[in-house]
Amino acid sequence: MTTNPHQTFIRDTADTDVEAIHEPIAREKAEPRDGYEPISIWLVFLFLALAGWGGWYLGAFSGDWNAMVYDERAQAGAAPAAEAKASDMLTLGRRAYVRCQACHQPTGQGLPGTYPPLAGSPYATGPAERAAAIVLNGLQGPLVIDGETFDNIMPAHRDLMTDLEIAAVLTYVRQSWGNDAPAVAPEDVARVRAATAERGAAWTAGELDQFALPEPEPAE
Amino acid sequence: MVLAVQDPSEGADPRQELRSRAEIDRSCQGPVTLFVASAVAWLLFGSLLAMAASIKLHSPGFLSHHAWLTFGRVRPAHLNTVIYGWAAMVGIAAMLWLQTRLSRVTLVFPRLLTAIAWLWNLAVAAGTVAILAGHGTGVEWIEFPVPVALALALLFGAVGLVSFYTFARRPPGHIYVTQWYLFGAILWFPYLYLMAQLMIHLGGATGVVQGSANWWFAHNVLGLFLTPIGVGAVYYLIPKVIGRPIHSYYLSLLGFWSLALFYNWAGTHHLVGGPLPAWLISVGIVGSVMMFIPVTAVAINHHLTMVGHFHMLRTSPTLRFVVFGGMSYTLVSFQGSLQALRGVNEISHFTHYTVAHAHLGVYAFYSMVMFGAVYYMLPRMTGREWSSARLIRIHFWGSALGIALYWGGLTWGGWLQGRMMNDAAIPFLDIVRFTIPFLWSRSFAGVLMTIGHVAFAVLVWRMLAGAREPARAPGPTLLGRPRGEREINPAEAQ
Repeated sequence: MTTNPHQTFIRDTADTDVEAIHEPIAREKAEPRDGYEPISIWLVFLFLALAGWGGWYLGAFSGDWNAMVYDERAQAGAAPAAEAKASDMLTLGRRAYVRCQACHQPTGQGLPGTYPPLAGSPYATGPAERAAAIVLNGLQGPLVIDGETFDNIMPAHRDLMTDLEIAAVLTYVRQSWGNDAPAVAPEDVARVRAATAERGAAWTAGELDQFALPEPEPAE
Repeated sequence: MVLAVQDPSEGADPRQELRSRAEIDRSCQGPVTLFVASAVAWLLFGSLLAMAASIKLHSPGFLSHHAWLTFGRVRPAHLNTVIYGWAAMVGIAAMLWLQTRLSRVTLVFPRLLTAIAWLWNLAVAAGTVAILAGHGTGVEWIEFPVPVALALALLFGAVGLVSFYTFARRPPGHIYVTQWYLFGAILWFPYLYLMAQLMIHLGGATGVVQGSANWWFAHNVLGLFLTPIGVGAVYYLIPKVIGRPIHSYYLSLLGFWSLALFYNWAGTHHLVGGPLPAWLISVGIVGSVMMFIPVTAVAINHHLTMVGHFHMLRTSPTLRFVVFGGMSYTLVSFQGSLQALRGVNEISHFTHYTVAHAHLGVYAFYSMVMFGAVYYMLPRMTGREWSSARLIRIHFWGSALGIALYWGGLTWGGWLQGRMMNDAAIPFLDIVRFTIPFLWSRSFAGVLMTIGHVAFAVLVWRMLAGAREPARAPGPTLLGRPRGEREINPAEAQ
């Protein structure tokens, strides 16, 4: 019946169409059908339990469905964590320094003849309270650093920066580019802010050279 | 308990049934064989790229003198050739053929499909050259440049329309579960692929959202494109080969619709620990764990269909590959669900463990099922039998042992690697050195798999080229003696 064993045909001799059907097609079983066995009730229970777990997980770890919550352990509606995270003052300060670097430059060198440097400047590394006072109220008029005179205006940052930001940026300035002065705490800034609250004008170099923080009001 | 088993062919003239089958297969012959042959060629090329990438990880100097062959290009070239060359093309072949067989109508527009196959090859080749030339997009799973990707989406859309039109011409009757899965793949893939291009490459999403769009796509291309084709093929081939109905229609329903419902959510588990709102990741984790439902349903359905017929794994090449693939589907999905949990992911993420998992899915499940499908389809397209049972055995054992070693080595090594990475006291380079033996085991596994692929390619080549083959008995090429025949010559059976 066949000449080539690899091409075996079942030849339908009764049919004038002479259908040639490949042997693989002829021998195969009928097209698949469905059986209709019921689903085990235990499987249904298992799936319901899984769905229950899913509901619990979403409730517990959804972060209140808030796009700003990145910590899945934050409970829905819970108050913010009681203790604030300890921040790295130098990192915060480096970020806050973007306000300063247009004039004082990323290198802290200032611009000769125009903006005074912070690197090596006694106003930066001197008393912390004086440095905070400059940032809070600004500085204007001639100023001599390292024999070079600068005559410009630094605006007040009292309403632009928080105590923490000012403390951080001062810490950064006082400990960068070769400066090595003690860090500044937000509480220090707050004290200066309160003591100089009445003062509107910017400081002058003369005032700063005899800088003394006004005594705070005695507590009642 | 069988409520109502209605065989559509019951009462029909069996001769007529045979004739329509033969006619259907003839209509598929051109495009389906072309898609299969192309897929096998891409599989071989993808294996070479895989070997190069794998060897580079433990022997960095290997092939490193030419920019085209550096790891950063070879690795995405491997991924894209095996996904869009091998997996997609063999998947389209299976999809077209299964749809015609189950719709009981001949394939429409075969010439158009043949043209699509050539264009598809052209697009994948262009994309691969672009990646190797350094013009990949750098976004995992969609490294092909945008014009290539848009061309592929368009071509796949056309294949989908032809498949749908074929379906629409069918005589009225029951729609088999395989067809649901095929429609899933047809509808989901072009949408996914186009959306990924729009969101990621064409500026629809930026920043963090881009990352979540990327993993939404990359995970869904597995779960909503390759998985439905693979599972659909298993649903067809197991009952077809053993000649027994699928265990439960109700489990089929549950499995399909729960896949459709849950899979789409799962992608964000790739970003556990990433800068994404907590709820988005939690939803991804729940979606992943809920995948236990479709997977368990499908696994039980397939297992209870197979029960009593496992002896056929000794003889039938198709069944052996398909059942291996089906069992791997259960394994990879369970592993995936557990891997999505935050506690596990914190260890497994950014390690070789993930790579092992990906290959368990695309290779041990999908590719093995597709190998089985090709072993079933091609004899029906060509009228020829497979030329050598030994080559099929080499293919099976090369692939099966290869992927087992691949998965075992990288899962074990990756887990230890993850635990070491979570220990800040261990220097990073020590961890890198620690993984080297496991990377060697991967290369060795890759050699085994590639040997299997070469055997497979030789078989396909011989079948399509019709080369003169050694004389053999007529009938199917089986891997062993069927059970009933053992009694004929008990002496030989020992």
